[in-house]
Order: sequence, then C-alpha cells, then structure tokens
Amino acid sequence: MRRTGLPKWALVVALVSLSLVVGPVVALLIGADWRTIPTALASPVARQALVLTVTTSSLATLACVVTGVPTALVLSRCPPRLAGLARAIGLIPLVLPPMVSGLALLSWLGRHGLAGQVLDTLGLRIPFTTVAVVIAQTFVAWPFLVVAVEASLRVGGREVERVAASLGATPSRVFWTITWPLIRPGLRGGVVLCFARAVGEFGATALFAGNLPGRTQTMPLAIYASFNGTGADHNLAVGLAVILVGLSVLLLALSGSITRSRA
Amino acid sequence: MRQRHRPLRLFPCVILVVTLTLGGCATATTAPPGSPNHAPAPNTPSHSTAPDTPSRPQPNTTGLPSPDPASPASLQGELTVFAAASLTEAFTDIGHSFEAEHPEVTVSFQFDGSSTLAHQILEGAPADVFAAADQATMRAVTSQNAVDEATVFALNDLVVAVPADNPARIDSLDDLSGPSVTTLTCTPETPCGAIANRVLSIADLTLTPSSLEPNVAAVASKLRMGEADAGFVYATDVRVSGGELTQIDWPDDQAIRHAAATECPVGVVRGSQHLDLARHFIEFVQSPRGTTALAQAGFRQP
Repeated sequence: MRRTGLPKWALVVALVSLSLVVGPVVALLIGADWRTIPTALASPVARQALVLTVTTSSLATLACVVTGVPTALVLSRCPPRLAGLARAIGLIPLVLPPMVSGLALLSWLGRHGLAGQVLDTLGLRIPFTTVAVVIAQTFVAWPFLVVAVEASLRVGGREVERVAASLGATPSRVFWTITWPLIRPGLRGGVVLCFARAVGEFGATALFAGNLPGRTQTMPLAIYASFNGTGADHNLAVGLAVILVGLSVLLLALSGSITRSRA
Repeated sequence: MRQRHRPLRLFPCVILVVTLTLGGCATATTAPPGSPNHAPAPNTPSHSTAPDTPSRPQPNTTGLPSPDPASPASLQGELTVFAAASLTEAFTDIGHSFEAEHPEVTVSFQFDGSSTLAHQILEGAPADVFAAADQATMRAVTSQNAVDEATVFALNDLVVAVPADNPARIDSLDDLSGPSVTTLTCTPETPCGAIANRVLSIADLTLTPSSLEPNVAAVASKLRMGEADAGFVYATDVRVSGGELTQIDWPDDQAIRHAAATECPVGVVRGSQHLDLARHFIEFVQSPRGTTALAQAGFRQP
C-alpha cells in the first residue's frame, strides 16, 4: 500500500508558518492581565461595544444573505463571460482597502454624496449612525457570502433541477425545494466568513460611521480608542481583544464542524 | 482517502502543537521592549492601527551624537519625529527646511493624536522627538522618564469650526446644543477632546457629539467634507483649511478663552539613537525659520 507522498519541506514550511500565525495570538493571551480583564469588560464602554458589534454584525450578515444568495444564483446561471464581469464588480469590496471603502461610502451616502444629497433633502442622514455601521459591514462582508454560495451553486444539482423543471416545477419552486437545501452547507460557511469580516470591520466604519460609544463604536473601534488612551485603558483594549479571539475561535469551530458535516 | 492519510495524522499534529506553543511562548517572552524606561505592557506598539502611519525607519548607527555641535553641516542620519496631528502642516514644512539645510539628514514624521503617540512612545516606539498638543500629554511621558525635558515652542487655541457654508447656521457656542446639530470632537483622551470638554464645562453646556474622533485631523477632514455641522478643532486647522472652515468666535468670557488655549511642548525621547540630531531639530523649530512656519500655520509664539 503506497501513501500519497508529502514532501518533507512542505511539512516544515507549514509548521513554521502556522506558528507565525498562532504565535502572536498566544502571546496576546499570555500577555493579558487576566485579573483586570473582568473589571475592564464590566465597563459600560466594553458592554456597549460588545452588544453593538454582535447586533450590527448579525444585521449585516442577514443583509448579506438576503441580497447575496439571489446574486450568487444569478451569477452561477449567467453566461460565463458576463458572470466573470459581474463577479469582478461584486468582488470590489474584497480587494478595496477598508479605508477606501469608507471614503467610497461617504462619497455615495455622505451628506454631500451622490445619493446622500437626495436623502438629505428627505431629512435622512446616514453617516455617524448605527445604520452606517451596518452598511459599512455589509459592504465589506458581502463578497465573502457571494463567493461561498456561488461556489456551492456551481458544484452540482443542475441535473436534478432540470428534471424538476421538466416535470413542471416553477423556477422558484425548483430553488426552494432543490437548490436551497443543496447550497445550505456552503451558505453556512459563507455566513461564518461574512459575520467574522463584519465583526472585524474597522476602517470603513471609522470613516463612514465615526466612533461614538453605544452608537457606532464597535469592538475594533473600542480597541483602537482604548489603545489610544495614555495607559489607563490599556486593559480594556486587551480584554476586548481577548473576547474577539474567543469569538473567532468559536466561529472557526463552527465552520470546522460545517466542513466536517459536508465531507 | 481517509484510510490513506490516517497514518500521517498523529505525528504532525503533535509536532504542530509543540511548535505552536513554543512559538507562542517565544513571542511572549521577547515581546517587552528592551529599554528599562518603558512602561511594562504586553503589547508591542508596531501594530498600532493609526490610519496614516508612515513606515518607521530602522535604528541607524550613523546618527550617533556627534561630539561637535558647532558644525551642524556634519549632521547626518534619519530622524523620526512624533508630532501631534495639529502640527502636520507646520512640521512638514519645517522638516523640508531642515532637510534642505542638512542634506544628509532625512526627517520622517508620524502625525497622530498626541495621546496615541505618547502611548506608542511609552511602549518603546523608535521616536527621537516628541511634540505634543498640550502639556498634560507631555507630562504623561515625562513623568515616566520617556522624554527628558520638554520646552514649549508654540501656542494654539481650540475653536469651534464649521464648514464654509455653515449648513446648521451656527453662530455661537450655544448653537451647538441644538437638537439636530451634528458636532464632532476628539476622544477625551486626546488634548483636543480634553480641552473641548473643559470649555464645555466652563460654558455649562452639555453636548452629545456625533462621533469621538481619534485625532483633530480626523475632525477637520470630516468637517471639510461637510459631513458634520460643527467640530472642535484648533485655530491652526481653520487657518490651513484655505477657507474651507470658518471659525466661530468664543463667547466674551476670559475663563473660556483661557481654557481653550494650549501650549505645545517638544522634547527629545530618551533612548533616542540620534540625540544630537534631535536637539538640532528642536532648536531649528524654535529658530526664525521654524517660528515663521509655525506662524504661517497659525500658531502663536509662547
């Protein structure tokens, strides 16, 4: 019995690079002053940031699912060339530096922005609101969901869908009874990535939504703000960072169980 | 597939866990900055998320203190100056003049909120010169012996500024408390935020800002983009905005005007590898060339 060969150098490189990834995170956990973290986290600023982050990220993820799944469906059924173009456009937020996304959102929805001007005449102002946080998170996280769902749409199920259609099922019925169950594992993976990206969003939020505890100050902004303080609030930064690490591990575990259930 | 890979699994995993733990411990034990005057803190400063942080130069041995301060032409090396965001225009200008006078010197700046910079210096960031927007922030580093002694080189005033078209028709400080007025200020940890809070408490005015920005430059940018109705910035920010910002006069109250004034101190960072260069730069800031640049940006002389 022969095993698939694994080059030894690949193993060495993989171990070294993985330790480079894990090293800083472990250092953060070891370096944290665990006695002061509970007090730091009990502060209103920390609680507000945590609640705000989970709420806005969930809303952003929901918005990504509602808008991303149909988009992915259209992309997967388009003629290849058109789909490629549409995909390239849709993936722009993925490659844009988040600060640029923030500027772009301001130019679009800011008070003097293209669409923002119109909203302003209606008395609607988006910058510096919680809505702006959700929009910023949705903007940057959306491609993660679309990519994941489109990938699972391309994997298979076309035959069964064709059969169903030939038996007289409407496109919507085909979607809900056949396509939807098929893409659910991929969707779950996309949701995890999308949520993680929304939780970590900093640059676009800082520019577009500002930084006000309880309204727009999400965890990354709170970490940055407390890191800014001249020392007194440093524990809060580390405490919040530890929570974010915990949240990421949880998300990883979730996505891990998803991949296992898929395999 | 599974069957094939199984024999490989256990061994790499054990190694992985061991390496990762070792890697983590090594990072943790080598992390604290080497210099004894730095406050002990678990994080290294280099990953600070300052949006416009320029890359820092590596410590350079060529700029070691020259024994002959009388010949400034012999100065060389790379000087790193951490300066308050309000000093951006004036110091950039001064940096160019300094480089022109000393062709073998490169000056690189990091502009940000004074408190952010102070924090980074306390964590061992490789700065040579620190210029803050107020005395309180400078005291935070001098009290930890991270900056030797600081001299006041300029005065500035916090003001209320509005975009040129003044969309919310703000005419006085009291107008800021209007129901739908979008006001920006700095976080209370920064000098501009602290001064604003002091002024507001003297004026007995409660205000809910729309955002607490990390430094005064962020407030000024958002005002210049017209995203807010008013904001607390320095007189110098209004001056360098080229007409995009208008300053609202303070009420005729000596206590308010006094609270709004701030002294900008500058000092050499202890542990600097370029002490001589740093001292020359600070002298240059206070020389006629430096004071002209500061005056152009709207700073007053102490």
